[in-house]
Amino acid sequence: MKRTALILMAAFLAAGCTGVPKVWDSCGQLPSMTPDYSNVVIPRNIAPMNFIIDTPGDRFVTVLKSDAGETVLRGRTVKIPMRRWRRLLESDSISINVFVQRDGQWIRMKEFSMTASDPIDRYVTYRLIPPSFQQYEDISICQRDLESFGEKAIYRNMAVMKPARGQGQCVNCHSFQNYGTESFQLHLRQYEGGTVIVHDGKVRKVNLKRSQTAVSTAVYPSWHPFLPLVAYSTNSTVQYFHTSHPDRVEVFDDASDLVLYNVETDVLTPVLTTPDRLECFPSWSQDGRTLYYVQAVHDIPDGEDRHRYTLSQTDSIRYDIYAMPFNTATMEWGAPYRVFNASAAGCSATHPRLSPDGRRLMFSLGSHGIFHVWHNDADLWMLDMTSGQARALDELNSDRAESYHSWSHDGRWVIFGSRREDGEYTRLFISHLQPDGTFSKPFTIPQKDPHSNSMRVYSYNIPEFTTERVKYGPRRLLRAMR
Amino acid sequence: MNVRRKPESWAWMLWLPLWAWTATSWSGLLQKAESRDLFIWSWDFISSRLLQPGGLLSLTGSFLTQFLHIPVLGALLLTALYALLARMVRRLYFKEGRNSMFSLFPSAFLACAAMATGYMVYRLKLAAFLFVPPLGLTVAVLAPTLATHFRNRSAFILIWTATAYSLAGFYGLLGTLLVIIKSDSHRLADTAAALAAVAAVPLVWAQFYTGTRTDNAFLAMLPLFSPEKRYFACALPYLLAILSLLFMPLAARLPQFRCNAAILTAIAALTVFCPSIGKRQFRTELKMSAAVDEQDWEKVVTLGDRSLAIAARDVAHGRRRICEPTRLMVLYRDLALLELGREGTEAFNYRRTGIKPETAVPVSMAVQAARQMYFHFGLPAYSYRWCFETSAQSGLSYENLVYMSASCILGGNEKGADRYLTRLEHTLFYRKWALQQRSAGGDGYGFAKAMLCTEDWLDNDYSQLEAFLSSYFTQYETSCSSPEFFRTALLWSAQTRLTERFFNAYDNYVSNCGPDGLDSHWQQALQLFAGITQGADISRIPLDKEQKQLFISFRKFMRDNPEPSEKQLQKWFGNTFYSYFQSGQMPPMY
Repeated sequence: MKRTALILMAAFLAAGCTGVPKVWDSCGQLPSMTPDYSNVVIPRNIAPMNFIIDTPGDRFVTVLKSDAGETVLRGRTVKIPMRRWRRLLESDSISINVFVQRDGQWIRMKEFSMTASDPIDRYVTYRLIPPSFQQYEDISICQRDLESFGEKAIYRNMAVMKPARGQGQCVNCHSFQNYGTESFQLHLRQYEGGTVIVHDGKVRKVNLKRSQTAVSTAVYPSWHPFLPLVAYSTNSTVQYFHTSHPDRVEVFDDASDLVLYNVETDVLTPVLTTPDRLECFPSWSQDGRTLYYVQAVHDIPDGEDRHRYTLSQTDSIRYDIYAMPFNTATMEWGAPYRVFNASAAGCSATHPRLSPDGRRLMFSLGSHGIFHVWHNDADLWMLDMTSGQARALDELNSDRAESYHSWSHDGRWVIFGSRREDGEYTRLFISHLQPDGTFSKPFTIPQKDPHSNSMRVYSYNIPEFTTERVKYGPRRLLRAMR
Repeated sequence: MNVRRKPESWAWMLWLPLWAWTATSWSGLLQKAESRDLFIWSWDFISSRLLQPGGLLSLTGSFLTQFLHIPVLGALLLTALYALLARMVRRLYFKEGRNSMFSLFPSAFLACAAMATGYMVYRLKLAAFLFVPPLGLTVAVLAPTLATHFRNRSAFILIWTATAYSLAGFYGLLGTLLVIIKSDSHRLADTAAALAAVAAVPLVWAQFYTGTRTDNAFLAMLPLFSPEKRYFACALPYLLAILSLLFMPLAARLPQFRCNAAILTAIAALTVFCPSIGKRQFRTELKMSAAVDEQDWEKVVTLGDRSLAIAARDVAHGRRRICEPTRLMVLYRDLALLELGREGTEAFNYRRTGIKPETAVPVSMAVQAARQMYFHFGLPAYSYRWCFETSAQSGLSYENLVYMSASCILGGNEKGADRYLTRLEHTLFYRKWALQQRSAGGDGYGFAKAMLCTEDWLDNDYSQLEAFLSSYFTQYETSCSSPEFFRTALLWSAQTRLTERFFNAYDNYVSNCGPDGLDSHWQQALQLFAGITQGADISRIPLDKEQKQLFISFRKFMRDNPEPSEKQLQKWFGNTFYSYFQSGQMPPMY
C-alpha cells in the first residue's frame, strides 16, 4: 500500500514538473548556439538537430514543440532523443524556445523554428582528411546516414599502408553512378596505387596511367548516369605556399586534359588534349548527353619552362565553364561550347554541377585558379540555364571558401563544403531549393554530440549524395587491391 | 643479512640513480615525448583511442605521459613503473629468490630502449612510447598471475586473450603466451586454445577495426620500425625486453647463478646508461627546443654557448673528434640572440657551422623545428603548415596545438585559434596557457609580431628549413620596417659570406635602424666586405677605434698566414666575424 502511494506520488510529481520555467522575462534575441540551427528548413528524414547553447547562463531549458508533440530538454547541450525527434517531425514545423537562467532569473530567448520539408537522399559520402598539404596519413572515405548519426568507413588507407616503412597511401575522388552504389570508383595513390572500380558486382583495381593520359593518371572523375563510362580529367598538379596571404596555399595545374574510360572494355580514350588549354572537373548532365567541364587558356611562350611560367601566372589563370554534347548511341562527341564566361569578368569558375532537372548549373567562383577550397574569396554561383542569368548565391555564401557541392537526386537539396566556421576546416552544409529558385538558410549536418563539429580535426571533402548505402565493406575493397 | 632480501636491496639501488639520471640528463627527451603526445579529457578523444586494439593501454600511456611535462615527476612515474614491472616479474618467476636479479632485465631493456630512442623520437608513431611498453609488459605479466586463480585454464585463456588484446594489443597476446610458458601442467588443450586465440583474436578484430593492416593487428601497441639495418639498434632493446620475459622461467630454473647480485645490477645499470653515451649534443638540443617553446631565451643562449664552447675547446686542443653542436642548435641560439638583441655582439663568438645530427635515423630540421622557427621568424602561415604536416604523420600533439593556436592568433585568425585552444583547455598542463592566450590575444609574441611582413610570396621550402629562411631574409624585397626584421636579415646575409647580400641588408638595416651604435660583428663584417669589394666607401660610417685596430690586425695576420689553420683563427680571432668568414665552412643542410 505504502509502495503504491509512493509510486503514485512520483508519477504525479513527474507529470506536474516538466522543468519549464513558470515565470520568466522575455528577450528579443535569438539564443546564440552552435551550430546555428535557427529558422532553417530541414529534410523530413534528417537526424536530430542537436546543438549547444552558447548564450551565457547557469541553467538551460529547451522546449521543442510541434503539432505532433512537445519535448523538454535541460542543459546547455541539447541532444534530442531519436524517437521524440521523429515524433516532432510528423508535423511541418517545430518551434523551439530556449530558457536561460541567469542570477536566479529565467529569461526566454526569442523563439525560432525548424521547418520540415522534402526528404533528403539518405546517404552522403565524403572523404575525411586532416587539412595537411604534402604529408598525409589517416585518410578515410566515409558514408554518413543522414537519418541517423551512423558514419561508416567505406575505405580507410590505414588498413593498407605501412606507415613505419614510409609506405603511405592517399585515397581520394570517390564518384558514384547516378546516386546509386552499384557502380562507383575511388583512387589510391602511391603504395598499392590504382583506381578501384566497382561495377556489375565486381571490384577491381585498374591502372589508368596509360599512353593516352600523358599528363598524369586519371584524376577527377564523373560517372555517366547510365552508360559504363567515366569521364576524367588528367592533371599535373603542384602546390606552393603563401608566406602571409590568408589562403595559405595555391594548388594549380600546369597541364591538364580530359579522357573517357569505359569500365567494361577497359579502354581509355582522349577527349580533349589541348596543350594551350587546361581542362578540369568533368561533370555529366543527368540525361548523359552533355559533359560540362571548366577550361582555361594557358599558352606557354616558346622557350619558357611550363612549371615556372605557370607559377608566375597563378593569379591570372582563369577558368570558364564549357559543355560538350555527347551522343549516347554513337558515343561521339559534339563541338564544345562556352556556357559561362567567367574570365571575362576577371573570375575563375570551377566544379560545374547541373541540377537533375537540367534547369540550373551550380558552380564555384573565385578570382583565379582551380582549387577553390583554398580560396577564401570562392563563392557558390548559379546559372539559370533557361535565361542564361547567373547570380551569386548570397544566401549560401560566407566570407570563407565555399567549394565542392552536390545536388540531391531530386534536385531539392544541395550539400556543399564551406570553411565558414574558422577558415581552416571544411564542414558540410545542406540547403533546400525553394520554389522561387532561392535557397534556404544552410545548416551543418547534425552530429550526435554537437561538440564534435568543433573537436573533429578533419576536413570533409567531396560530399556526394547516394540514395542507398555502399554494400561493399572496406575488406572487400581491400581484397581487390592486392 | 637475509640472502633472499639481498638481491632486492641491490635492485632498488638501480631505480634511484635511474630516476635521477632520467630526470636531469634526459629531461629534454621526457619533455619532447610529452610535447609530441596528447591526452584530452573529451569523449571524442577517449572514444577514438578506445576503438583501436590496445586502446586502453594507449590512453593510459598518454595519461601518464602528460606528467612528463614536469620531468622530475614524469621520471618518477616512469621509474616506478619499471620497478613495478621488475617486482611483478620477480614475484611471478623468482619466488624463492634464486637468480632474482634476472627480474630486472625486462625493465632494464625498456629503460635502455627509452634512452636509445635518439632521433627516432621524431619518427615514432606509437603514442606514449615511453609508457606503453612498460605498462604493456606489466599487463602481460599479470596474465600468468591471474591464471592461477582459474581452474578452467582454457576458458581463462580465451577470455583473457579477447579482453586483453582489445585493451592492451600485442601485450595481451604476450600475456597468453606467458600463461602457457608458466604453466606447470602443459596440457595440450590449453596450448591449443592459447595458440588459436593468439592467432584468431587479432584477425577477428581486424575485420571490424579498419584502422590497421591485418598483419599489423598482431603488433598493435608495439613501436614499429622499418625493417632496415639502421633501425635495428632502436628495435633491439624492445625485442630483448620481450624475449627476456619469455625466457624468465628458464632463468628461474637455472642453478644458483655464481655471479653475485652486484654484478648483475652493474650489467643492468650499464644497459640503462650505455645508450646515453655520445648523445650529449642530442640531449642539449632537446633541452634547447624545450627552452624555445618556453621562450626562455637566456637558457637557450646558455645551453648553446656551452655546446659551442666545448667544440671550440676541442679545436683549440687540436682534438681529432670535435664535439660539435648540431646546426639546429646554432640556429636556436641565433634565434635567442635575436630575441634578446645580442646577435651583433655574440652570434659569431664561436665556430658556428654546426653539423648534421650523427644518427642513422634520417631526420630533417623542418620536422624537428619548422613550427618553432617559422613562427618566431614571422612566418605563422608556414609554422601552421608544418604543424599540420607533422600532425598528419604522427597525430595531433601538445606542441602542434600550441603552435597552431599561436600561429592563428599571430595571423589574426581568432576563430581558427579557438578550435585548438578549446582542445588545449581540456588538458591538464596546457589549460592555463590556453586561457592566457585567449585573454592576451598574442601579447608576448613581440619579436614574432615585429617580423610579420605584409608582402606575400608564393613559394615552397621543400622541407629545407634553413635554405628557405636564408633566401627569405636575404633575397626577398620587403616594405617591412621593423628593426627586428632588418637585424635578422643582417645576420642571415652575413652568414652567406656574400658581399652584395650583406651590403643590401646593411643598407636596409641602416635606413631603418640608423647608422649609430653598430654592433661589433657588423663593424667587422663591414670592414671585411668593404675590403673585398675595394670600391665600397665606409669612411663615413662611425666605427670603433678598437674595431679598426682589430681589422688591421686581421689583415696583417692574413698576410702573414695566407692559409691559416682553424686552430690559429680560433686562437687570435675566435670571437669575431673574421674567424667565421675565413673558416669558409658551409653549414650542413638537412
